[in-house]
Amino acid sequence: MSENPVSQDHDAADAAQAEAIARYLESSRDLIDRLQSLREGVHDTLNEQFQIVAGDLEQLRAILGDAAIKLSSAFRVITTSAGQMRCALDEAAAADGSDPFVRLREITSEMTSTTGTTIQSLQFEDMASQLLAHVNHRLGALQQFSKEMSILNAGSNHLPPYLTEKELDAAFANLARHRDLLRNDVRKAVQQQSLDSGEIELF
Amino acid sequence: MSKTALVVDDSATMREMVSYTLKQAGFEPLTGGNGQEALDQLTGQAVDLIITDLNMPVMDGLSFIKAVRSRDEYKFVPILMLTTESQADMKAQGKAAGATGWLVKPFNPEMLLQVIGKVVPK
Repeated sequence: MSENPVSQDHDAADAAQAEAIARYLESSRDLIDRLQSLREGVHDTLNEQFQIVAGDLEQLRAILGDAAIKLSSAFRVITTSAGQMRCALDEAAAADGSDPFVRLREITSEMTSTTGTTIQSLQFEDMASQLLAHVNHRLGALQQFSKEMSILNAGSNHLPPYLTEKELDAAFANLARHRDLLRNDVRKAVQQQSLDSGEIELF
Repeated sequence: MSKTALVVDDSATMREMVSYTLKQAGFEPLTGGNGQEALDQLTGQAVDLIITDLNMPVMDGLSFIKAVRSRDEYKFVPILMLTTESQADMKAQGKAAGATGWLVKPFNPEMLLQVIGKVVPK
């Protein structure tokens, strides 16, 4: 121990400073651990929600697919029956020519016209399927992004140090790469907002 | 003698709707769920018209059109692209591949038949 009072003061000050630094490091460590836990919680929550949304989309796809199969089947039966009825009515009207037959021919004509609208509307299935596939793909990419970020977080678990400057640069580069992937991954093929018929161009 | 048309789309509903419309105009429709399936259908088969989707698994519409145009017997068969895509660059790619026309989904049956009337020789 130094006998110089000034030196003793310095030693005490150094010890106090060292203790303060230790306390600061301890509290920083605790804070970073809590932040780490928070980030993991965010990842787990995001993952849980992704899975719920993916499940809902799959359910929607199944319902739409089933509706399309049943509607297409009903459409086939109706149009076949309407065609047969029209032929029968044409023959009967040609032979008879009375008012009820004429009216029935008008009705079948209206049915034929409505068939066109039905054909146009039934195409919802194709567009809905493509949109669902696009959303599913995006969800998959987001899940991957979340997973990658989670791996990055796990790397900052060990003390000391939490992250070197090199690791931090790599983390930013990784983040940028995944952000670009998410932005440019898959082009959205369906821009339609309604079932109005689309444009036609002959080359 | 009825004319034959090949309908290529990965959506069963679309194949059904296009086939029904073509039957109304007297066509005998053949179908394929993607470009490769359609190419298999084409082997030794004379067709008067091809209507194809763009985005399909296994083989997409552009690759399919290029493969069709590479075969001498199908060089002049009208090919209509029927797709949800409407971007100019995609249309340009379709034209370059050998498509005769571009129709954006959903199609109206009457208008489709009008277009077919213009591109398929009587």
